[in-house]
Amino acid sequence: MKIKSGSFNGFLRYIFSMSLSAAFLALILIALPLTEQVSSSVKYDLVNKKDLYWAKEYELELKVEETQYFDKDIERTKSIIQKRLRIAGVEESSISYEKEGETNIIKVFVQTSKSKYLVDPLVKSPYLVRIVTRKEDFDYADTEDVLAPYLEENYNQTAFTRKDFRNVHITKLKNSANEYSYFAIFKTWPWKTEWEQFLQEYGGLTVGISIDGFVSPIQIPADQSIFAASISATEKENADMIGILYNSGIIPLNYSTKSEKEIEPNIAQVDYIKLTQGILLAVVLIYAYLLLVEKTPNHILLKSGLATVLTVSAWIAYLKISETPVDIFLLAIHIVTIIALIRIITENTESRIIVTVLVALLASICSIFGGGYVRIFAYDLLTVMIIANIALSISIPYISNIRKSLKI
Amino acid sequence: MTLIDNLLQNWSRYEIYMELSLLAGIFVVTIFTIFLTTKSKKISLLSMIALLLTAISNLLGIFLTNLIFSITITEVFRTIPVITALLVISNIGILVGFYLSKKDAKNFKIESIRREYLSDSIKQTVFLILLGSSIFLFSSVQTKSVTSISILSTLSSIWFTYWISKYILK
Repeated sequence: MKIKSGSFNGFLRYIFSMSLSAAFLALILIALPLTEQVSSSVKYDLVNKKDLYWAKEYELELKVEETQYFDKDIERTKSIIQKRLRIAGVEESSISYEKEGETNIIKVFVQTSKSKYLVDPLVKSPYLVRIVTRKEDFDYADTEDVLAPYLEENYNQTAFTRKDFRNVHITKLKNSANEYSYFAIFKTWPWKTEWEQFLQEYGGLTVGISIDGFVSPIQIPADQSIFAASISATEKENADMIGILYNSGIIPLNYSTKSEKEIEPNIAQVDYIKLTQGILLAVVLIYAYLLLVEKTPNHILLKSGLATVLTVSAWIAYLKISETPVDIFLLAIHIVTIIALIRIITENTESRIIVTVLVALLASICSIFGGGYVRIFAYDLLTVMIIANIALSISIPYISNIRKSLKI
Repeated sequence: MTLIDNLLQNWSRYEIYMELSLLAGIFVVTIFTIFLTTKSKKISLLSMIALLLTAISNLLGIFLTNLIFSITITEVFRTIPVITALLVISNIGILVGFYLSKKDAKNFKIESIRREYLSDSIKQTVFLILLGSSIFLFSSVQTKSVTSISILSTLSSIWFTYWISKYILK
C-alpha cells in the first residue's frame, strides 16, 4: 500500500502538534495553583520557603586588648563573618559593633532558610587554626583524663597558622578503614620551605591541628606527601561549611558567643493563589491593550503569549516537581520580569540577541557579586532566560504546525 | 541620614565593596557591550545616562519610601537596583537592536530611531503599570514597595532618557 508523502507528513505534523499540545497542557496544569489537589498519587505542591526561615541575633564578645589595629581588626572580623554567610547563601545578615562598658561586642543578625546547624558555626566560630606538636613528657593515652589529647595547652605550639597555607581543599579521600571520608588538605605556598622541613621532621609521627583551642590529631605520612586532616563531616553540606570556615579569610581576633537569641523572622508574605489570578488578569489586559490599542499583529501576540505561558508554566512546574523551596515574593518579581522580557524580545526580533546577552551578563555579574536574594534572583533569572528562549523557539514552529494541521 | 548611618553601621566593608562592585560591574559591562556592538558613542552615552538616572531614581525611591511611609529597608530592597537595571537595559536593548538592524540601511538617520524608541517606551510603560498593579493588589508591603520603586524608577529613567535623546541622537 502506497502512502502519499504529503499526507504522511501531515500525519506526522499532526502527531507532533498533539504531543506538544499535551505536554504544554500538562505543564500548565502542574503550574496552576491548587492543581496538586487533582491527583492524590502525585504531589505537585509549591514548596513555600517561608516555613523554613528562622532568625537569630548573636552577640559575640571580643577577647582582645585594644591596640592601634583594633578598629581595623574589628572591621576585618565583621567582613569575614559576612563573607562566610554570603558564600553559604544566607538570605539576610547584618553586623554591627558596640561597646558595652569594657566589653567589645559584635552583633550579628541572621535571617535564613539554610540549616541552623550549618549557619551557627559560621558566626560563632572564629576558626583560629594552628599546627601543634606533641609534648614528649605528656601521656596522651591517660584514661583518667580523656579530654587531654584534645586541649591545645597540652601541645607545643608551632609557628604555622592558617596564613601559612594558600588554600585548604576539602575533598573525599580513603581513610584507614579503606572507606571514603572528608579530609581538609592543606596546600602551602611553593616558596614556604619551612613547611617542607616541618613535614620531613615529623614524617611518620602524629602532630595536631588546633581549631579554636580544640586539637585533632593528624598522622603525617612517612613519605610526607600530603597534610590531610580528617574532618567531622559525613554530608557534603557540612563539608562545604568547613570549607567556608577555612577559606573565607583569617579572623584576626578571638571571640566567644556571649548570647544568642531566636527572633521571629520577618518575611514578605504573598498570597500565591491571588497573585496568580492577578498576574493572569494583568496579562489578559496587557494583550487586549496590545491588540486593540497598539494594533499589534495577531501572530506576534500569539507567539509572545504562548512563549510567556510556556516559560512561566515550565519554571513553576519545575519548582513544583523538584520540590525546590521558593520565596513566593521573589517568584512574583521573577514572573513580572520575565513576562516583560519575553514581550520585548518577541515584538522586537532585531533586539532579541542583544537583550538576551545584556540580561545574561547582568545576571552573571549579580551571581558573582550579589548576595542573599540578589544572587538567588540572578541564578533563577539565567535559567528562566534560557527557558524563555527555548519556549520562543518552540512556539514559532508549533503555531505554524497547528495552523497547517487545522488548515487555518 | 538614618538610612545611611544604618547602612554604614550594619554593613561590613566587604559588603559595601561587593555592592559597589556589583553596581559598577553592571554599569561597565553594559556600556562596554553596547559600545562594542554599536560602535556608536551617542548610543553609549545615552545608555550611560539611562543607567546613572536609574541609580539616582533608585536611591531617591528607597529614601522617600523610608522617609514618607516609614517602611523598614530590608535586604529585599537590594533587588531593586537589579530589577530596575534589568528593565532599563531591556529598554536600551530595543534601541540598540533597532539601531543595529537599520544603521546600514540607505538614508538612515539616527533621529529615526527615536520614533521607534518612543513607541516601544509607551508599550513598556503600559505593560509595566498593568503588570505592577497585578502584584500591588495581592502582596505584602515589602513586595509592593520593591515592585513600585522598581517600576517607577524604570519609567522615570526611560522617559528622561527619551527626553534627553532629543539632544544626543541628532
